[in-house]
Amino acid sequence: MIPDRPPPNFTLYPLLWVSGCFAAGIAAGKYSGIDWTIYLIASLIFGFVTAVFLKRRPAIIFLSISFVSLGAFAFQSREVHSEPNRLRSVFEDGRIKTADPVEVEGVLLGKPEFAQSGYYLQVKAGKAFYKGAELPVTGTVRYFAPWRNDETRREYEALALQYGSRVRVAANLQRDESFLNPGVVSRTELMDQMETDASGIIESPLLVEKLGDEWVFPPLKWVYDRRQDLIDEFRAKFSVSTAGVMIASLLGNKEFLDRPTAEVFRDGGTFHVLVISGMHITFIGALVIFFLRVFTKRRVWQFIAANIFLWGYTLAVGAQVPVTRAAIMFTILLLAQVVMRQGTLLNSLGACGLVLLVWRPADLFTASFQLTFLSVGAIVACAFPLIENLRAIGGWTPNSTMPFPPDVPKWLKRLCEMLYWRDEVWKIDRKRNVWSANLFKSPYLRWIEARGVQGIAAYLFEGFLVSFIVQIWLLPLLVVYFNRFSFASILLNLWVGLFMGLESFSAVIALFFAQINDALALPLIKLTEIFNWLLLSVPRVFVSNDWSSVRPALYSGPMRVVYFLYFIPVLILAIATNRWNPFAYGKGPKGASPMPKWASAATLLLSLLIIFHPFSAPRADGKLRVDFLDVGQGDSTLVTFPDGQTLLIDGGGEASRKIVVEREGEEDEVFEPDRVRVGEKVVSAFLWQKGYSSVDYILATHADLDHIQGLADVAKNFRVRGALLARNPAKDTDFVELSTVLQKREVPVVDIGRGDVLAFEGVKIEVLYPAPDDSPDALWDNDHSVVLRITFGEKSFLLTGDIESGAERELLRDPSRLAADVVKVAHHGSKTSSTQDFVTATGAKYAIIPVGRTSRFGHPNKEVIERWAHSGAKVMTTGEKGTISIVTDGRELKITTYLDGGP
Amino acid sequence: MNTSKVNNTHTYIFSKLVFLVLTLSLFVSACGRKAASVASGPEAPTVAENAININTASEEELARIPYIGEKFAKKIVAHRDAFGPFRRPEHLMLVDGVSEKKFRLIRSLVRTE
Repeated sequence: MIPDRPPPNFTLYPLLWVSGCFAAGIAAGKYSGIDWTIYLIASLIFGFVTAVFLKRRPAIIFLSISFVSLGAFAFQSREVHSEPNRLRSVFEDGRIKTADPVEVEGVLLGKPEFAQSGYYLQVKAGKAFYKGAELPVTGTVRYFAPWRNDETRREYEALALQYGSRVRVAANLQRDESFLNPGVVSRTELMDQMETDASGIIESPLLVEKLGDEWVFPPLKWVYDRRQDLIDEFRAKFSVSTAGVMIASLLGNKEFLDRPTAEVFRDGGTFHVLVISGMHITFIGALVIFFLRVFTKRRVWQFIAANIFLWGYTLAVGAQVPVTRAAIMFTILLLAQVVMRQGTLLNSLGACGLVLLVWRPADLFTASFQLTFLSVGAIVACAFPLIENLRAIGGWTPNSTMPFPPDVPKWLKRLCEMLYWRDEVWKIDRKRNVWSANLFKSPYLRWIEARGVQGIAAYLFEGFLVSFIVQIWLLPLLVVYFNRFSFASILLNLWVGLFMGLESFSAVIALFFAQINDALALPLIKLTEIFNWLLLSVPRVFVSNDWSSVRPALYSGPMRVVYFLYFIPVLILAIATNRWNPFAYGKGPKGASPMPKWASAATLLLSLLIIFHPFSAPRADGKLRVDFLDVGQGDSTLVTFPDGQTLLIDGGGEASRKIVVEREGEEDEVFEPDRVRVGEKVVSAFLWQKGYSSVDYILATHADLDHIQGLADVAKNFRVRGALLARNPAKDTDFVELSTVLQKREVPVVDIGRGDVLAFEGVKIEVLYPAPDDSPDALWDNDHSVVLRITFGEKSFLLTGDIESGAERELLRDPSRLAADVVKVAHHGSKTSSTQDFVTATGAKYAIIPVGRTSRFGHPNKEVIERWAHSGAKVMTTGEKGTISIVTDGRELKITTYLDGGP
Repeated sequence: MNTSKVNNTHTYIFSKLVFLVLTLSLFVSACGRKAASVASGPEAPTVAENAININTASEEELARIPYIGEKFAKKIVAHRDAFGPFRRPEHLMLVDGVSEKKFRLIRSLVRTE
């Protein structure tokens, strides 16, 4: 039937267009300097003008400008409107300094969120007691209360904290960055996205006072309690790995994920299934609707009931922003299906975008929003129309809207017919029709239909297609935010999705049965564990290869435009896919437009550029550059030589508490919490944002965790040409981790010791200490740290590792070798090092201390700092200043720090 | 026939209701009720009669408290000067170096008013 309505004035997808304008407006609001009042006035004026010119062509321009201004206004009004009493502002104004003790009185938002060895309290603040004064405050504080032993744990439980409890908590509150390095994800930004104003660690249950319980909405409390019950049940009935996976993906709590399991997902590019996201919400929503069909055929009731359940679930798991976002999108998309006709999916996508951005305009710039929206967009705008067309091509029989066979290449026709052509059905249909036709179908493999696997084959094919299209759309985001692109994830997503579904079903049913009878549940529990093993085993195989995923470095400067340019051909392809009608007839010679071909080529080219990032590393500039990174407690120094080569000395590192998990009737398991290591989130991130994906040499000064752990991460993530080590302590676990990685990546190891000289173009590195000794029992501790003297032209640097007074005395036997312009102070400024004679012998002008802002060990020691200062050196610590970079051309030194806005 | 149609509708509704009730009951029973633990707060510490007022005591008096000594007495005074008086004795734990273990040992020896 030919529709009678006149064609639309401008676009079939007004909501998509309008939300695009709104988004552009938000970007304009952030980056242009224009004041919000101007935007408000502009949007009102242009809105009015649009209403006047409603039916004419120019209306679209006015409408667009109006919405752009509206977007900018929305963004700026949120920024400006920050309440002055909000804790976030209080910290930023400096009215409270980070790490100062504050007592906060407020109400608990939700039950305490359990972790493996403590729990989190989210407190909605009402009052703060600071420096003897009482301040009214608003905002949220997130506390972590560790249970150091059973007694502490019992005292916390005795407090009986629950949703709605009014509490007073005394702790040192923090709102600051964790590491002051370029490339590190900003902690304050993450806090803001999680709607947290400050965080703190509660040192003792005695510091928490419960003042009573406020009234809370009973169904909500019930839902929170049930969620906690489920978490406890999962932990009791399943192994550490399975429980972690199920609790993270079904209940939204990632604290029980152990590191090895999480890494399998990360390396395979499938970590998103462990976070409650669009995939889960869609799965649960579809399940609920399927279930509801038993009760009612009326779509309206299905819609209402599905939403009640879905939003209940969203609230139960904590209603964090990403989950709420997914729920909103599902509701809107489902509404479109229910209320409107087919084919308005794109408009609903636009509506989603608009609603989400009006709710939180600043989200436009967050990774979470971009990933969610683009993946849904890829599916809805690209994959669905494509699949619809493919189905139509394969299943084509003559009818009124498509009287002629599809005009597509032969191979495509045959592929579609293989997947979608049902010969049996056609035979039956043919008998019923008044007319008859001879259809020539030539599917590739006829037996697929006969054996009944056609449905499965079609399903797998569609899944693969969707996965592939989503990866294409997300490529720049994955590279920029995670420095990871996994080729294998296209397949792994299907595998992981399937087994997650199976495992979830079996786990939930097992828990169901466990309420009735434990023995009944046992076979299902075993089945769940098998599914979990299968879930992990296949990705593990892929992950152990080098070719299945890459860790790309980033472009800096003007080349960064490639990450935006990429979306242009992708968008063109999306539009072409939507416009593609293989059954179009009578429109004149349909010479295939060259656009899609060019767009595909451009996409391929740009994606290769992004993944392999040629020429991203900084060019050699004839200067020697030494960067002392801020890795908290620990050392990491990057030396860049005048010819462009790089040497990384130590990689930082921090200890992670391994916990023994005991379960009734089962073996004890060791739980290593999933914390991203310093070597990855600080050192690797720093190297990637500089554009490096290979490091020429790595050198370990000694085998302490806070120096050597990061090197293992760097050796995994980067191509390393050689590793320089001074000892070989075969029994030291941290050293063994590094040497295992080096062996696996086939990195040659060079033994160095006193007397060795490393020569790079123009730069001489002398190894002053320790004496060579490669016996496997030789200790590699602080007092045997590698000491290096780097000389370039007239300037020299002395890097001392963690040496103590013993090693310093030995080095003082040849004091002329110790003279240096810049000295890295030994052992983070501890008082067991930096003896007075040593300090005098160096004659340093700059003393750099890599140390955390606060140190458990009291580093740096005040006396040590004074000793260096008195002998004429300017003392700088990475904890205060962030990354300290020193560049020299052999004659002069230029020092910049991260905090002072240095490069 | 009319009656059979009505009967069919009734059966339909009835079977749906039975299904619904069964599901709900399984669901509710599956959420086992945990015995509500009788909430009792931590026992109030018995404070000795000659407990020291950490807000008014001098550095020497603080140094005399066992496990505190000179070093921590200095820190307590510095904390007091920077952040004002302690609202509760427990807040001593906010001073750098006074751990929970240490505080529990001297709990009965300190007070704030």
